[in-house]
Amino acid sequence: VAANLWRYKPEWASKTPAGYRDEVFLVPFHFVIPGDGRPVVSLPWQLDDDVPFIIRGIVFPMIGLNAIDHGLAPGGRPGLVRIRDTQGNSLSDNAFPSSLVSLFGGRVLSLGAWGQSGFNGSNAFGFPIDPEIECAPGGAVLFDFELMTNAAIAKFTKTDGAESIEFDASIFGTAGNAFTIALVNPGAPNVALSVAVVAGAVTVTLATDGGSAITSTFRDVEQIINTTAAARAVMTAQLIGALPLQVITALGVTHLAGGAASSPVTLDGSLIGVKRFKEC
Amino acid sequence: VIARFHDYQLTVASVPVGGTAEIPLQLDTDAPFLLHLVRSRSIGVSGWRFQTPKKLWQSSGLRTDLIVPSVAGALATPSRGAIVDPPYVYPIGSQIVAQIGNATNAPLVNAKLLFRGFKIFQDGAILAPTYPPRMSVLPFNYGVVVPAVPAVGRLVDQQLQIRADADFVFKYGVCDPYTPGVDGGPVTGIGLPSVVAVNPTFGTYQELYVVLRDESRKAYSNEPIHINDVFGQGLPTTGNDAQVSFFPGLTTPEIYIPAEHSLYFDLFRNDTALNMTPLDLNFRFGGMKVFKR
Repeated sequence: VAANLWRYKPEWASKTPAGYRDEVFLVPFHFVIPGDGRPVVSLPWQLDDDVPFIIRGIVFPMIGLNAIDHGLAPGGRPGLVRIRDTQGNSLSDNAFPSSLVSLFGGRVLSLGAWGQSGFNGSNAFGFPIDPEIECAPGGAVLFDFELMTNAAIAKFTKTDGAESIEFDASIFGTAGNAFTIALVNPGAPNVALSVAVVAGAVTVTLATDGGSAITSTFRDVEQIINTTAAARAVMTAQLIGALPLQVITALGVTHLAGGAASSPVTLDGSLIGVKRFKEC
Repeated sequence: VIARFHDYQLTVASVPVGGTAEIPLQLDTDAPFLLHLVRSRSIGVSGWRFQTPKKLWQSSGLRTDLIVPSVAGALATPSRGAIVDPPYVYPIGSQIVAQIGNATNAPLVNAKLLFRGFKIFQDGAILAPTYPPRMSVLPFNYGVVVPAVPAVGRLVDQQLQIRADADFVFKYGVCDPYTPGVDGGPVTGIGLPSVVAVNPTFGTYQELYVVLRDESRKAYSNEPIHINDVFGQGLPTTGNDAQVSFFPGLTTPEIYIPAEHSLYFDLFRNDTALNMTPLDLNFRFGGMKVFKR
């Protein structure tokens, strides 16, 4: 009995019906959508109108790749996807009672669902769609997307010798270019480390010792920004280097820079399956 | 008979240098267990072995499920586990006795051996909805978002509730940390600041475990299982044997959930070591809809 249980597996690979002939067929699709992170729904991709197309898999690396850095990666971006077959059947849904259901509109994160990322972003084998789906001749497969924005984040990196600290805007796009960071040397003895935020201006007052020398380290600055809600709402900080305990020097008011608006995203993929011809 | 997906896991808090002797894993008293996969975690190439139902060692010495490198000097990499084929059937209330080695010069901490298979029940012994005699099927994914999973803590009774239109067969699962962001909107990526800066959509986790439960809250495992072993990641994180394409997490046999019924899962996270912060977890329950005809 155990052996039979183990061998048993629901077999959904359908046979070609009697009187028909299946031929392997690929349907490449191509969309260019805004990369702003907002939903784009009901994009149609029409199938040939000669015979039914049976979907058995999908290759969709452009939405499965691990985009490394804000639009600079050669591939696409992870995101939420919803696909509907030619009968209008949605192939995904959000399971309520999640509080975020209404936001996602049936779209689910593509990785491992419709667009396989695979290990380290590779997508060598495509992704099976099992059981297969029969699509009507001339019908349209509908795609909904909601990609992560590829807008660049404004940032500034301060370097003292071998240690650096990077300040990243907490908002996508050009708005972050208006944010500023300042590290103030109070010039007085025994001042405690503190941070003040006015609109988009973050000012860190560095700590000093009894001789008015700065004692705050790179790590101190990183932590006070990341753990102070008001400051973190404007920017985050991260350390780069192996000397986080190095004392940091003052910095005048400096704008973050490099924030840029999103750009269109190209999404290429292929539906894999067969065309089903009736034998004469 | 009824086959019900089940994981047994043996966790050893500390394996001393030189390894351990025979460690028994007590099986439940409700059903026999059919074992078809063994996977190690935090054991490395130190090796392990286990005893068959006849109390014979399954291998003559310690073995590993890691992939042996083909290049000199390269490190072994984690695999999906060692397949046990033909499978073993352990009697009700029996034990799987295991041995874990430690070829390093320091104790192995939190070593785990996952025994994956299924429990075998007599017909009628448990509620086990299954396929109708006549049906139409449609491949389908349910997405469940669990927002703000804390770095330390547990969230119980997370729910996958099936829609009313059709039954659902859960065949594989995927989970990734992901938070959408829009141009002009906040960088909502949460995790390490370095992760935020590199890619704001993803945080990361290491010590995240899950227990699947049916609608009566009967568990599909004896203890929390690492989430990458149940829900393989689309983007595997590093560390703790997670850098592996255990992808997707396969539930074999599949779990059949009738329309308007639910599958529950509990999450356990303990990510203090790297100052990790809350995550939005995107679960995808893959499988198919079953429409009665």
